[in-house]
Amino acid sequence: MKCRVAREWMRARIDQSLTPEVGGALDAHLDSCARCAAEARDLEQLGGLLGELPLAEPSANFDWRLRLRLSKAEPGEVPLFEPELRRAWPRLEFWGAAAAAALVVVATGLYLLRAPSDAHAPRGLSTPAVVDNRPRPEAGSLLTPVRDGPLVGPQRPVPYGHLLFPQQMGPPAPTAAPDTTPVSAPAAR
Amino acid sequence: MTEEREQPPGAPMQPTSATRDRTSLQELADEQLMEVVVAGDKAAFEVLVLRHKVRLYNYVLRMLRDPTEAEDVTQEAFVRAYVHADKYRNIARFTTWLYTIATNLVRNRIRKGRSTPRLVSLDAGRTDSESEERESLDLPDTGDLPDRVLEKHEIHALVSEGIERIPRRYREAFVLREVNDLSYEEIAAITGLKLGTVRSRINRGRGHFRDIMEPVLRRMRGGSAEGTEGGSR
Repeated sequence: MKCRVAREWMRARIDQSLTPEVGGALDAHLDSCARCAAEARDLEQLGGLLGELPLAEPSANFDWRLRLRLSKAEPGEVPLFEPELRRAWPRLEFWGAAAAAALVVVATGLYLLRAPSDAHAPRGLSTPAVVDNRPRPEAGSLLTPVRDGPLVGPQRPVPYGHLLFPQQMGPPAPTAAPDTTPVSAPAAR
Repeated sequence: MTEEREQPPGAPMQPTSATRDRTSLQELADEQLMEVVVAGDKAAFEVLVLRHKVRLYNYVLRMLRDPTEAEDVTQEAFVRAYVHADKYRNIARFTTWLYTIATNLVRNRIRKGRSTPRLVSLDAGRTDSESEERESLDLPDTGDLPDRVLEKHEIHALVSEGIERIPRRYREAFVLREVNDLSYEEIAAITGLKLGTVRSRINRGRGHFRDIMEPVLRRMRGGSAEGTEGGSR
C-alpha cells in the first residue's frame, strides 16, 4: 500500500467510514511504515484534543441583547442572505485580465509595425522594406547564390574572415606579373 | 418578546408565551419548533436559541477570532432566522439553514474587515491574510522548562490558537466538521461547496492543523525523540 492511500484511509478512519477489511489493511501498513504510524498517532491525538476542547460561552448579556434585537427586527428590514461580496471579485478579475490581454495585443501590434525588416535600415514606420527578389536555390541545392555575381560552385566562407589580416587569409590569388621595366629608362637595344 | 426587555442583562432567556409551557416545547425537534414559530409562538424560537447559540457562537468565533464580533454575527444570524422564519422549508435541517445564514454573514464580515485591524486577536499584530498565507509553527513557548508537562488549560488555549491559524479557506469546513460535528453533507449544504471539495478542504485543514500543532504534540509526548518522526508528512 502506498503512503498516500494510507493517509486517505487514516482520515476515513477518523470519520468512522472505514470498512473492517480496509481497516485491517491500513493497520498492516501502519505496522510497517513508521512515518504513517506517526501520522496516524498524531491524528488520533489531535482528534482527542479537539474532542476535549471546551466550548466558549457567549457573554452574560448575550440573551438580553438578542431579545432586544429580536423585538426591533422587522421582516423587510434585513435580507435573509446578503449577496456575497466575493461575487464582485471574479468580475473585476475578468475585466482586469481582459484589459491586460488587450494591452498585450496592442503593444505587440505596435512593436511589429515599428520593427524594421532590415537590421541596418533606419528605424521608423516609413522605412521601406528591402525585398530581395533574386531567385533562391531550391532546398538541398549545392549551389548558393552569390551577391552581384554568377552562380558558382559551393563556397565556404572563412569564419570571422573580416577579422583576419590579408596574410592569414591564405595565398593571394594569382595575378599578372608586375611590369618592372622602368618607365623613364630607355629600353636596351 | 418585546415584553421581556425589562429583564436585566445576564438574565437567562425564558419563554414568554403562555400558550405552551417550556417543557413541551423542548420536546419538539428543531423543525417542529420552526413550525410553531411560524404559527406565531415566539417562545419556540427562544428554545431554538438556547439550543444552538453556544455551538453557533463557537463556529463564528473560530472564523472571526473576535468575541465581540462573533456575538454580533451570531445574534444577527438568529435575528434573520427569526424574521424570515416563514421562508424556512422543512426540506433541510434547521441547523443547516441557521449555519448557512451565519456562514453568509461571516464571509461578508471577513471580506469587509480585511483592511481593518482586528480589535482582539490571539495573534495580534498579524493580519488575517498573513496568517492565511503561511502556516504558523511558532506556537508560543510554554515555559522555561521545556520538559514541563502542559496544563490542560494551556493545551486548550493552544488547540484554539491552532484552529484559528488554519488558513481560512480550510478552517470553515474543518471547524464545522471537527468542532461542530456536522456531517459532510450538511457542510456541503452550508458552504455551497461540492461534497468532494468539502472532503478535500477538511483533509487539508487536518493536515495544516497537524503541522501547526506539531510542537505541542511533541511536547505532549514528552520529548523530541518521537517528534522527529512525527514531523514528516
